[in-house]
Amino acid sequence: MSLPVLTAVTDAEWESELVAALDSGDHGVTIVRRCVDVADLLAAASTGTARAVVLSADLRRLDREVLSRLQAARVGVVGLVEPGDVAAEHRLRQLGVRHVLPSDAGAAVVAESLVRAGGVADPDEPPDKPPEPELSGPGRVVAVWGPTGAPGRTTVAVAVADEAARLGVPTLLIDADVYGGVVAQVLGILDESPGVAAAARADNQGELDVAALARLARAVNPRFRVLTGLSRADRWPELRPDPVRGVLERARALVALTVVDCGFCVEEDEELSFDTAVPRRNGATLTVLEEADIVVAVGAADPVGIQRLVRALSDLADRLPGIQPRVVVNKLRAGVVPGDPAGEVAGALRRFAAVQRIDTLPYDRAALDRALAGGLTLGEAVPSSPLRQALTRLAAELAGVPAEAGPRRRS
Amino acid sequence: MTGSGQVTEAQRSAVPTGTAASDPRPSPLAVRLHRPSWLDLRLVIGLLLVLVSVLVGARIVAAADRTTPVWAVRSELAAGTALTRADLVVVRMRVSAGADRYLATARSPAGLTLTRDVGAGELLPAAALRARSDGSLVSVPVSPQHVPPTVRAGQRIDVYATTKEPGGTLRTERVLAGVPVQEVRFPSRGALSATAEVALVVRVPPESAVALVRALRSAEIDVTARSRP
Repeated sequence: MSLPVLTAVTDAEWESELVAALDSGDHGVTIVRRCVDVADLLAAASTGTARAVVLSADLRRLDREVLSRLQAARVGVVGLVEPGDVAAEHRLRQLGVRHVLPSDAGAAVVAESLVRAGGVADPDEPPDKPPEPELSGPGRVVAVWGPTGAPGRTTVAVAVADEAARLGVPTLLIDADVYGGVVAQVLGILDESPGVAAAARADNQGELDVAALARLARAVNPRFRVLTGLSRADRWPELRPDPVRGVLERARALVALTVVDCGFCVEEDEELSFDTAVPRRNGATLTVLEEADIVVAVGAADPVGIQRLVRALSDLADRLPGIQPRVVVNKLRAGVVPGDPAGEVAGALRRFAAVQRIDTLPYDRAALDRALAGGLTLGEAVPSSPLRQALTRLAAELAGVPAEAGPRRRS
Repeated sequence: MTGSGQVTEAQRSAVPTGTAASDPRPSPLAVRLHRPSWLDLRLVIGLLLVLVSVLVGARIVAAADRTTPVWAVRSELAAGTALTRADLVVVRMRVSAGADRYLATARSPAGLTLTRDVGAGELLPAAALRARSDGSLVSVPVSPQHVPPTVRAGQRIDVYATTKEPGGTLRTERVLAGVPVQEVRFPSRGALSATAEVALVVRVPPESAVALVRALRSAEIDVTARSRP
């Protein structure tokens, strides 16, 4: 059976030669449509008539979003670059195109690649060239997530990243909260750095490599880098799921530990309202939770916080069943929880959410206020706080290093 | 994604613990909020401004100083008094012209003799000084009851001698008139000795020294002090 394919090649002269060559010979492919631009290509792909596409690297508005929609339509992609254009080939591979050929490769080779790309479905099939090592790495990603109601996600994320850096682990803190990230404010960072939105934009264009990610991040100290969040909550459409995945992959290559401060919401209500591909506000959060090696669920230790945590854990289990979050109960204090607070909270979570193990963090409002007032981390402002000591132990476990290893620095 | 909280052994061993120095891909340093410190650039600049203006002001005032230091006498001195350092004070005067008429402080006039009377606080004129002093120094002993207690060096005194004539009448004669006192020695009271008399040292011409000495030996002596005319 002949494979139905699309073309989206910009060079008109060469395109007609290629179409003629592919159609005339017995290459096992049939051209069903010759697309003129990206919109045309996506429309044709979504009809499901084609199984593969051959496209030019310089096709206008070709980005990760387009490729991910082609992948969703189960259309394999073969990229064509000008012979010797290394930058274009690098960009296509960074965008995730596995089959890249020079444009003078000849119809037979193109057809063979199209058959392999369109034979499809098996994403574990080895590409024609091994991926460049810089695109991903062995670093660990920890997502700090939690229900609504300010349980302390940002506080925990900043402190875990800072303490891990103090334990000697190169760390990157990413603010991926699409509802109002405040990591820059918490750290007292004054300059307007482009941050995660710029990184996502660069990745969408296929221009984000590890060095570019390092340039977009800011170094609080040499081992602790920060990718600041959206400056306004209404810029959330800039954090699309696929670019966020790309940013996390580069982060794994850049540092040993990436801590991501997530938004609280994991609902996908857009899909209830639209039947087309729409920007999903919580897509970034869901992507981070899917990609993370460890998900930390932060809840507040009061009746309201516990109830929200139980509901959120249940939502998360519905949405992403494979994830076993590590539950951290923050703001643990006597008074609001009668008797032994840690025991009561652990018992409630065991009963209502089947959580067997929790970590607790004591409530130290005075120390946090001092840190917040000075734009400092807890380790910088009040190193002796019991909350900080608990966070150091948590950071050591999340980073996989012994708690007292590494140089203890005061900065 | 591993799908659980567990981290594979490969990830654990692959965690690089590189230090900043070996970081081939450094990030730009974040500009962070700083707690204001007392050592502020503005404070330093302010202190420097104050200091510089004090120094410059002092230099300007010093440069505008047109006065010269000259000698003045501390108290009234009669002509013929040999000057000592204790009689003199330095005053700064603005002398528009003829500053050499007064004695500059570069030279000490101690040891010179006045040729005319000088009042208290008056400047010492260079023309009123004489290097050499003529005459003999004579000490005039006088009992404290016969001399004004306020007498001091530089004051003019008259010396009277009273002798008893053979007829029992007294005869008083002025043996010195208007001579300046060079030095006054008041009686000292020691444990073993006591000088009962005040000694006034005067300089007299050698020809009148004889009459003076004779009077001192033979007569009762009274000393009167003259006020300045």
